[in-house]
Amino acid sequence: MDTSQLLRGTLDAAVLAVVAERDGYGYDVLRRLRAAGLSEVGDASVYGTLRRLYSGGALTSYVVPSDEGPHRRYYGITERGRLQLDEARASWSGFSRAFSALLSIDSEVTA
Amino acid sequence: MTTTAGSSSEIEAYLAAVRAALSDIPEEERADLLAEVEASLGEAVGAGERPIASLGPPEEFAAELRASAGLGEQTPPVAGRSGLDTLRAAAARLGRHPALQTTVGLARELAPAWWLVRGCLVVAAFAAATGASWSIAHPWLPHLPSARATAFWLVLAIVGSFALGLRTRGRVGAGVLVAMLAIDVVALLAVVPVERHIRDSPSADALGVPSVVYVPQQLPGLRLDGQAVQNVYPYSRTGKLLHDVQLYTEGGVPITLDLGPDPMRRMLAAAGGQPISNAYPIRYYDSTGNGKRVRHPDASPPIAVPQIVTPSLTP
Repeated sequence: MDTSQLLRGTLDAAVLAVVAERDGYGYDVLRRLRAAGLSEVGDASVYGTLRRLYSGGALTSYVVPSDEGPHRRYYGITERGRLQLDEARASWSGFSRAFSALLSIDSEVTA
Repeated sequence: MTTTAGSSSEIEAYLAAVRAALSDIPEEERADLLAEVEASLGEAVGAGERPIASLGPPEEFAAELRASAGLGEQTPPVAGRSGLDTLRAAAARLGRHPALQTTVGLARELAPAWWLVRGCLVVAAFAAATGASWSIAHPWLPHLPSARATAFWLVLAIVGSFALGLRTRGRVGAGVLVAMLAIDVVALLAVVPVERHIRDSPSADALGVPSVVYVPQQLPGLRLDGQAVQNVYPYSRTGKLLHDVQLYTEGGVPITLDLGPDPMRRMLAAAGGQPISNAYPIRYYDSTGNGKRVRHPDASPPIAVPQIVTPSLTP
């Protein structure tokens, strides 16, 4: 399966996890997601997700002046964002266990 | 990496295309989203880490941005729509308008009236198209070929129009709808020649058609049942013919006959020489004589005059 399709439903949790670790600006978040192994995550998807999480109150934001280029808008996680991340972790681990078991059984049967 | 110093203009062009693709998003939201993209892209591309080419077409980038930002389905910008789509959207918007829905409801209720008119118009249109003659007394009624035949066609057309209207009252296919519209348009177009015919048709009077008109009678002389009276014969109580009896109306107007000048008429005169023309019976001179002999002085209608038995008023 294409990883980008899998990402679509889980990007919120991934972005929240990255920002929860450390505040970051748009391109920084993208870079860290890619560095974490999500190489197929789209630029636009990350920026859009950041704006949506911010609008929904899961993220806060502040501007940091930069000497080199334009000001950077940093995002930090809010209390609501942490709750959302916890829920995502719980449901993901449950889903992951079930899916892993399912796929391993399947591979044993067909192997 | 293909990044060069000229990439800032590339970024500008790319961002402009993305902005255009998001033109339907509310201004404030779009500005926030684009500010984020602008800053990030500027940094990524400027750092040479994300060449523009790796971002894909700006339209796809915009669509991905829109989807991930939870801004809903992409609606094509108005300028990009075809004229028909714009028209459809406008029609759909108009169709939801309460005033129009009220109008449509009213039109549905009044539809039978139109069906009636449509039946008449179809017959009129046929008459106008075939050059049929029209009734003179009723200019709106064509002769197909007679007024009676026209009545038959009218009933047939009206019944047909109602049947068609009732059958297509519910939801029908586009084909039937178009056919109905065509019939309606033809019927409506027939209004023009029919109206012109009625306006231009000469009135019945101009064609010499007799019409019953009451004209107050202003004819001279004495008339009985519309006929001019030629003479008057007064009789006494006993049934004896009287001569030179002067007659007047209740207003004192002499009762005269419209006989015209006649030299043979025995004219009577008063003491002062004034002629008396209301004395009866009128007598005529004998044309064979010298003009002084009265012809048949005692002549009278062949009638048996009854004697009056009611007591006389004369003392």
